[in-house]
Amino acid sequence: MIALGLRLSLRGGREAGARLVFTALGVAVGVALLLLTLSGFRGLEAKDVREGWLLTNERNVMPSIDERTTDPLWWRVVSDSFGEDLLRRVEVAATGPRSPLPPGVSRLPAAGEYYVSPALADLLERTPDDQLRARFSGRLIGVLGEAALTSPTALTAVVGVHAPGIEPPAFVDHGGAPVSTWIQVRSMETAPKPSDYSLFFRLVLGLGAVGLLLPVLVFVATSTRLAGARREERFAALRLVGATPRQVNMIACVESVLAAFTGTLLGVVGFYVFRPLVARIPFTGEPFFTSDLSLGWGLIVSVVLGVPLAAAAVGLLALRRVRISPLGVSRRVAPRAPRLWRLGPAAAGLAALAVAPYVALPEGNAGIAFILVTFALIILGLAAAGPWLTMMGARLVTRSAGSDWSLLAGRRLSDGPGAAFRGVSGVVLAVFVGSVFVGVIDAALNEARANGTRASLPASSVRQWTGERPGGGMDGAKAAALVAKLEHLEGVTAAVRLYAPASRTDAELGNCLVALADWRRMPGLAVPNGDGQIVTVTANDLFYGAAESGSAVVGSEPAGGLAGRPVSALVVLTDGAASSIERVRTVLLRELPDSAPSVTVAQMDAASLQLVSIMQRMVDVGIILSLLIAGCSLAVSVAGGLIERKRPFSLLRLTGMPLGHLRRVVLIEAAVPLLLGTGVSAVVGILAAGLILRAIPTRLILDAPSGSYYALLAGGVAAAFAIVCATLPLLGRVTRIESARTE
Amino acid sequence: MNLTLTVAGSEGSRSSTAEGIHEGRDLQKSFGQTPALRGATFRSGQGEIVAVMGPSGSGKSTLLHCLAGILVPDAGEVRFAGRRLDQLNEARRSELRRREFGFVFQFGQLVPELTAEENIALPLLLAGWRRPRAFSAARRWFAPLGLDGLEGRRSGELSGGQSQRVALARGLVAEPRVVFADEPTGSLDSLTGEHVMELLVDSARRLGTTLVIVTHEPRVAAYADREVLVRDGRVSDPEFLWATDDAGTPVRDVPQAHGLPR
Repeated sequence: MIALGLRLSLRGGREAGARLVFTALGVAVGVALLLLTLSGFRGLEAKDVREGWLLTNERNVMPSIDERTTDPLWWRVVSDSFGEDLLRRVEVAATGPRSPLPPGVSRLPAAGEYYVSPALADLLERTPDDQLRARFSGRLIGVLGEAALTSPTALTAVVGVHAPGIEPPAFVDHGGAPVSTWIQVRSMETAPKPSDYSLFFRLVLGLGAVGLLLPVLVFVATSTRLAGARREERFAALRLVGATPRQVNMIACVESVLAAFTGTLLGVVGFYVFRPLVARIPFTGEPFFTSDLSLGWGLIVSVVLGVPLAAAAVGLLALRRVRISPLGVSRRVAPRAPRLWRLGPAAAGLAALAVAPYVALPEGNAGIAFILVTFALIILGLAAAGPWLTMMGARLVTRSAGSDWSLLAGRRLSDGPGAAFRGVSGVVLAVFVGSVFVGVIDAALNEARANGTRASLPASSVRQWTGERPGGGMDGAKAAALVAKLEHLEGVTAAVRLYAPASRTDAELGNCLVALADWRRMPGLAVPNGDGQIVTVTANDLFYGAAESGSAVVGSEPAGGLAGRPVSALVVLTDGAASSIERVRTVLLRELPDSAPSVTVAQMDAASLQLVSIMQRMVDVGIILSLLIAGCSLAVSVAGGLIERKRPFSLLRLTGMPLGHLRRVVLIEAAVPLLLGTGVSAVVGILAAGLILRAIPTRLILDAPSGSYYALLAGGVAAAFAIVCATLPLLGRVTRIESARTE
Repeated sequence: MNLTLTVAGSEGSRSSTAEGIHEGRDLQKSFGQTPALRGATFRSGQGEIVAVMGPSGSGKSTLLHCLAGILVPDAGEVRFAGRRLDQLNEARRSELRRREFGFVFQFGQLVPELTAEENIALPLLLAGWRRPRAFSAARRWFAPLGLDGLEGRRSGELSGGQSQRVALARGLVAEPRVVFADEPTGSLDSLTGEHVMELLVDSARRLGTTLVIVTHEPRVAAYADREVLVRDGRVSDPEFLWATDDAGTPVRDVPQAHGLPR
C-alpha cells in the first residue's frame, strides 16, 4: 500500500504532481515561517547573553575566571553616542599581568591602545576625525571579535587607559570630594543580561508568539487539505474496487506524509536560506547575528517528524466521509451545516478576558499565561466561527440572489462554508492578531507620548553634565575655557553654563543657575518673571520640557558672584547639522572623560518612547509576517480550489455559463467569508485588545483605532482580493471544454 | 431457506449450490426522507447474466449497491454464498468486494493518476499480489479487449470506449464470481456500447462469472439471460414467472432455460 501511495503521489500525472507541489510548498512556507519565528525568540535570548559582559562589576553572577587567580582590572563602561546610535566605550586598565580579559580580544589594550567593533571601524573610516576618531586617543590595535558584540552593527570600543588612580578626577562633588566612575573587577560577567522586560513587554512577546504560531499551524493544516474533494473522488474509486478503509487511510497517509515531509524539509532549507535576511530585520532596533537565530537539533527533529505526523492526522480526519462509502462522492451526504456552538470558543475567550479584572488574576507570568491561553482560544474560536459566519452570509446571498452567479455562489457557499472559509482564514486571523497588537501598542504609545516630554530647547541642543552629584561641578575657570573652545567650533551657536546653586536645599532640588543673558541665548525659552540677572531653574524642567511651568524665576546674583560657582552642566546649541553635534560630542568627551557622556535633547525625547517604539517595530514585523502567511495561505487555497472545482466549472461552462459569470462566482465565494471574517475579527480584535489592557495591571486605556489601522485593514483586504483576482485567468484555462471531456 | 440446491436443467445439468447464489430479500433503503427500495427481492445463480431494468429513479442502482455490499440496507437481508452480507463490517465487505465482485460503472471508476495497466492491476495490488505478477495478469487483458499499446496511458488520454474497456478489464481481472455493471454503456455511442457489451458478456461467460447489469436500454438487456424490472423500489416479480412488462406482455422466462428453480 505504501508503494501504491507513493506511486499515486509521485507519478500521478500533472494534477497529482501539482497537488503535491502546492501542498509541499505550502507546508514549506509555513514551516520556514514557524522556524524563523521560533529562532527569533532564540535570537532575543542570545542578545541578552551577548550583553552580559558589559554588566561586569565587582560581584559577577557568573565570573569568567576564578577570581582568586587574577589581578584586578580597572573598568568602566561609558555610554557615548554617535547620531542616534549607542557607542559603548569600555575603558580598562590592567593592574597586573593576570588581569581578566574581555571577550573578543586576544590581549588587554595597554594605555593608548584600543580595539573597535567592525561597524565602528567602518564608521571611523567614513567619518572626519574631528567628529569621531578624536574621541579615541592612541593607536587602533585591532577589531573586536564577534564574542564582544551585541549585534553586527554594534558600535563598541575597548580602550586602554592609564590606571585611573594615577590621574586625579576632573571634578569634585558638592562637598569637594573627588568623584570616580571607576571600579576594579577580577573577572568578566558571563551570565546573560537579566531580561528586564516588563510585564507588558513579556505580554506583547507572548501575544506575538501565539499570534504568529497559530496562523502558521492553520496554514499548514490548510495546505495538507488542498483539493480534498478531488482526493475523495479518487479514494472512493479505490474503495469501489475493494480497498478497505485501512488501505485507503494508508494511501492517504502516505500522500499526506510525503507532501508534508517534503515540505518540512524544504521549509528547513528555506529557514537556513532566509535566515541571513531575517537576521537583518532590526527587530529590537539592531539586527541579529545570523548564527544567533539558531534552533536546537531537538526542535528541528521534532518539527521534521511532528509536522508530517500532524499532516497525516489532518488528512485522515478530512477523509472521514469517504470511509463511509465507496460511493463517497456520488452519494455524499451533504455536510452538516455549521451549528451555533462554533461561536462558543471565541465568546468564551472574550468572556474570560472580560471577567479577568474582577477575579484576582495571578500576578506575573501566570497572569500572562492566562491571557495568552484566552488569546489562543479566541484565535481558534475565530477559525471555528468562520464557517458559521460564512453560512449565514451565504444564506443572505442566496435569499437575495437575482442572477445565476449569485445563486450558484450562495449555494456553493452554504454547501461548503468550511472549505470556503478555510481559504481566507489566514487573512482573517492576521487581521485579528494585527488588531489586537495595534490596539495594545497604540495604547502604550499614546500613554508614552502623553507622559513624554518635549523639551523647549531645540532637539539639536547637546546637554553635558559636569557634576556627578547634586551641587557638584566643574571648576568655573576651566568651564569658561571649555565654553570658549566649544563656541569656536563650526556649527555651534552658543554654549551656556548651568551653575551649581549656593544653597544645599536648592542643590538637592536639582536647581541650577543661569545668567539671564545666557538664558536669552537659548531659543524657545520664555524669559521668567522677576528682577535680577540670574535665572534659577530646575535642571530637569529645562531638559524635559517644563521650563514654562513656573519653576524658573529670575533673581539676584548669589554671594560671591556667579563666575565663582562650580558649573554643573553645559548646554551647547548647534545649527542642527549631524557633523556639528558630533564635533561637540567629541570635544566634550575629550575634555570631560570622567563625566557621563553628552546627549542631545532629541535623544532624551526618544528615550521615553524607546521601549514602546521597539515594540512597535516588533509589531510591524509581526503584522507583516502574519499578512505574508495569510497571503501564502490564500494563494495556496485558491490554486487548490481551482483544481478541485475544475469539473463542476467545466461542466457549467459547457452548459453555456459565460466565463464572466464563473469569475463572479469565484469572487463572491471569496468575498463573503473574507469581508464577514475580517469585519468580525477586526471588531473582536479591538474588543480583545481593550479587555487585555483592562485585565493586566496597567493604566493603559484603549483608544479608537487610528487612520493607519483602517488603512492596514483596507490594504489587507485589497491585497487578498488582488490574490484572488490574479487566479482568475487560470479559471479560463482549467475550464476549457476539453477538461470536461476527460473527467 | 435451503441453501443447497441441486437443479436438473435442460442445459448441461449444471449444479448450482449456495456457492454462487446471490440473493437480496425484502430490501428496504431510504436516503433521508426518500425511499429508494421498499421491499425489493432479487436472486441470481452462478454464471447467470441478469439485466435489472426500470425507469430512472426506480431504485435499480440502489438495489445493485445493496447487493454488492456498497450500501447496507435499512431492512431485509443480502446473502452471497450463504453469508449474510449486510451483517459484515465495512472491512469484511471491502474484502468481499475485492475477492468476489467486480464493478463496471458508467463514470469515474478509473483512478486518473494511474495508467491503464495500473488501473487494471489495482484490485490485485490491493489484494496483496506482488507487482510483477499483478501486472502480467493485467497485461493479458489488453489484446482480447483491443487495448494493445495503451498500457501506459492515463484515463484522460483514453477515449470513452477505451476507458470503459479498461474498466471492464479491471472488473474482471481478479476473476470475480459476480460482476456488477451499472449502465456500463451509458456514456458510449451505440456501436461502441455494443462492442463493450459483447466483450463483457463473452468474458463473463468464459469465466463463468455472474453478471448483474443495471440498464434502462432494452438493447443492453437483450444480452442478458433474464431481466428483472424494478419499479418504485420493488422488483416486479422476484421469481420471474411470467411477469409482464409495461405493456402487459410476458417477459422471457429465462431462468427455466438455465435450470434455476422457479
